[in-house]
Amino acid sequence: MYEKLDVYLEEIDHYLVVEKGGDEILSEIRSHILEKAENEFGEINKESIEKTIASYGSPKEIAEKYLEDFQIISPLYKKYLFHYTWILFVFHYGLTIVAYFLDLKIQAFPFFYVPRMEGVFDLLSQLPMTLLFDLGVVGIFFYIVSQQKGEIKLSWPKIFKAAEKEEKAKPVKATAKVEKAEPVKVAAKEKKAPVGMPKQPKMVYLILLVVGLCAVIFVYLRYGTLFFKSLDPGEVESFFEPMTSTLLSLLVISFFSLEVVFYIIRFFKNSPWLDLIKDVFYLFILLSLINFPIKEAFTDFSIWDENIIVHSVIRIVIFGLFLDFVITLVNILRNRFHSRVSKK
Amino acid sequence: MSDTDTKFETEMNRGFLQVLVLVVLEEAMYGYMMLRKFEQLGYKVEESTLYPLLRRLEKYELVESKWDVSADRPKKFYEISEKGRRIRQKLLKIWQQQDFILKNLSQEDI
Repeated sequence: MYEKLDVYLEEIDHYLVVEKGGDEILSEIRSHILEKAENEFGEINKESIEKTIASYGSPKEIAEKYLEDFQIISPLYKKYLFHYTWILFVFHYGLTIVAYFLDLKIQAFPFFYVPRMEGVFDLLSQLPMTLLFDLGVVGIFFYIVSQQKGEIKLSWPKIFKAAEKEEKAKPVKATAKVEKAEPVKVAAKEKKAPVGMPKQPKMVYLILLVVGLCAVIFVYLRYGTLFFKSLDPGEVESFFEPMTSTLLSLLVISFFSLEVVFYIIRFFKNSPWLDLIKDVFYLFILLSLINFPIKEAFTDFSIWDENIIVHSVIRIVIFGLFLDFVITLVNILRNRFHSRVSKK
Repeated sequence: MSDTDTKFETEMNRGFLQVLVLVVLEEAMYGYMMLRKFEQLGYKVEESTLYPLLRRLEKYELVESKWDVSADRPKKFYEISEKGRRIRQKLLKIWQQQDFILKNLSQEDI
């Protein structure tokens, strides 16, 4: 007689994810159904129970009603789930790349386990696994935080809040309803950052930079240069002589590394002064190279004066950087002047 | 009725039902008894709405419950707690203020 009722309660139990009191909820539902069957159909029998169950609602709906107050991850933290996952992923996959190049196994139980890899395929196969693992770790972290009764305010979200505000302030793409889109555009223009002010950093760009840096380091460590005359895998040959090749390759790697470091700093302090400091670093590196003798730089083009060619390129880059430095400085000073005037 | 209609109606009914339950539970009642009582008052409530609400009120200690096993089948009786009475007073006061505000608005405004 009660088979249908038992099956029904089992199905509710399947969806009912509660820490405690699940059995009591099921006992209550059983009692309610029998009560209703008796009162509405005169007696409790197989038929009246089936009819009552049919009118009671689907097991999923019933379970949902009991779970309204229960959340695995609080809505307060949901939007940070992916932000934190990306941050952890960049760090974790960075470790994986390091482990690959140094032929190491890295283990920090229970948070990280990077196995010893045998080839690029192993390294690439770690990519989705690392991402899913990090999503799980961050998910567990937010689950624990969500279950705490006290108010826990995470310190990092402010950075992302600023980035989100900028994202929201972007003008809406033009559609057929131009009239409706116009006011949004105006509002976005009003919120636009002043000329010369740095844009909010984005996690996707940081990931691209890190991946780019790793790729550059990988190529350099494997082939000893970043400048190839021939891309034939069996006969890799540098465009420059060994010493010049090493020097220029390390220059590219150091520039890339600086870019990554400064981009990471921007997540914490997004100041226009960072661009100036970065330019100074670049200029310092390039100026130290200006008198470096580069003889027989090119393997093939011996008719050119290599020293002049390479140094001319360095001078052009220095000039470009210096120009960028001056423009950034002028913009900073102009913005400071405007903000003082508007305050007065 | 659209999903939006249902959503807003459910939200409004949920608040009202909380107060109503706290009012009727001055006398100990079991779930089905409450449903019948509401029906007599002209207020139709689904059991799938009432029972989770009772559990929620119990969780926050606004109502107390006990199983009566004297009959053929065990029945769970609910009754308002002291804390529930205190909260009920506050909720009724809020409802009176809201009712007063709405009544003071002209028909056109609404």
